[in-house]
Amino acid sequence: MLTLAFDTSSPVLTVAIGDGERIITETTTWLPRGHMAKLLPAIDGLLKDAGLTVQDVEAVIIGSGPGSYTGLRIGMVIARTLAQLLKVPILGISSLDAIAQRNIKEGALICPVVDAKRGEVYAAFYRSAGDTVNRFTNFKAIAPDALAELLQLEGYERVIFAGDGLKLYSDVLVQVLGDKAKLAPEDDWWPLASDLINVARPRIRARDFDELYQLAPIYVRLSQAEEIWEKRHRG
Amino acid sequence: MKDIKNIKDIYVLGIESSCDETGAAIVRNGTDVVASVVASQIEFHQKFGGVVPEIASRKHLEMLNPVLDDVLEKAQLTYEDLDAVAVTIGPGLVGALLMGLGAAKVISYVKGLPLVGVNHIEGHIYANLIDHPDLKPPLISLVVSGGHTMLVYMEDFGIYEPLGQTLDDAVGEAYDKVASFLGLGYPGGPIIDEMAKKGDPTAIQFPRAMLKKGELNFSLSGLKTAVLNYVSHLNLDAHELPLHDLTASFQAAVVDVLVVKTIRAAREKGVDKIVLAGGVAANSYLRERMIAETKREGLLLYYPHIFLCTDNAIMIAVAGYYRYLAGDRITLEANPIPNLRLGQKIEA
Repeated sequence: MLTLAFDTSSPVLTVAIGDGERIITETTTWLPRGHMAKLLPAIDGLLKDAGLTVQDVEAVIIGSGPGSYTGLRIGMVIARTLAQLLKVPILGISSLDAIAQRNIKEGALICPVVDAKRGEVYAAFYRSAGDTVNRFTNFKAIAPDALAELLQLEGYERVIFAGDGLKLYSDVLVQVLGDKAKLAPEDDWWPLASDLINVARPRIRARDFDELYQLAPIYVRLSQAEEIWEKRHRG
Repeated sequence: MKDIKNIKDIYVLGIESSCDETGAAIVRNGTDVVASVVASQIEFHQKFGGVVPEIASRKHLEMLNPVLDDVLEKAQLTYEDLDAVAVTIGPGLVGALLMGLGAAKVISYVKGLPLVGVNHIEGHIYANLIDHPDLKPPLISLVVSGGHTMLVYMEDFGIYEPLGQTLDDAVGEAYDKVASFLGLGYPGGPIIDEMAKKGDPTAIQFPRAMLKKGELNFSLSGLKTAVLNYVSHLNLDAHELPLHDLTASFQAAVVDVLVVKTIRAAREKGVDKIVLAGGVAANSYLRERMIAETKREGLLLYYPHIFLCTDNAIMIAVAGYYRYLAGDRITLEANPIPNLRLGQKIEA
């Protein structure tokens, strides 16, 4: 099954094409704020390089976040409309799953930390399970010191952190967790499209796809206006 | 519908997502509405008393694909029957514009259709062509909505000279703020228009902000403050809030200025056609007064159907049709232009 995957939740624009067993080709570009202009040209270029056309695509995989709201929506509207027009199935894979997949390590807890603004990171906890990762918590938006305390309390031996949350908060994490905290290098911080395909593989085999109309980005938080309204009206 | 399609007919799909309505429409030859769908988000913004950009973006993403399916289903057409895709590229909320533009690009890419970027304000003006396909510039257009208030001289198709605009609140915005202050709800325009019907527009003398003599700009914040002051000085223990007279007098103050300046603009430019455009063009009192005053002045007045005044994709398909004929195209690299001016060349 020829799959087209992309993620626009981070400053990296990443597109990959896979055929079920392998990654055929991938492109990764550092491109803060350029996703709207460059995503479709990147998809088109990659397909052409592989000797394919968009009509050959049999499934669309989209990195569904959490991450930049605007970035996520650009990828999601393009993925949804591609699936709609090509009449092919769509699958949303969490961008944090892709980051965890990239940093897979046996015996360690893997914790992606993506800058969520407002002094928080998006995070979730993963363990390796063979070739893939297994997420065993919900996604949360959490202050980095609270995250570090939580991991300390749980008594994990070794925690691998990856994501652009490290740019701002690596000090806080190391301060609380000491040398139990392992910080991934910057090259491994981003949700790559090839990792989306790797994570998606079991679901593709099982034909376990998402409903086009229902598939939404993982925002984790309400809009700020709604949060304020909830606070004011729910005490 | 497909059976009777003439090969010379041109079908344009319009997509609109600049504010809080998700719209798609198919228009034939720039005049015949084949199908139109608008998914309004008003209920989601109501409790905030105005459009929340983040919520608007989220709802557009949710609604765009169902709205596209619906419009094709209603039209009994497929993408293969279309000749072009037209999409609002600005002005508007950037996060909202991104959604329509993203969907339009994919349609253009997958189906190999020409992609046309449309100015939302131009769309409002072109909405008049649905009922008046023979309407031709030169003309003066009064564009009034929740986000825009401007007088523009349209010398020819696509050629505009801005004559005046609001220096503070847009008309629709002033209606929303006054309605919210009076506890009447959101959106303020239709609520105040309805309530004012039972009031006396001369009951309270609110200021008419004409600004300098001959000036064609508008200012509405003073009027808004005057309403607030009037209410706070009322002895509400003795009186009930005179809502009908209040709204009627507020509306009269707004409309007086709009009418006077629009007619002045027509005189200055020596044109005899006046075109109303935008959501506030649905206001019954504005229409009534404009009809009376233009008749007295010997001017011709045009205004769209009520359903074509508020944001919709029909007007985008109509304006897109003319842009398509003129050869205007945007590429897959296009970005939204949130502050796009009328007449500004769309280069993308």
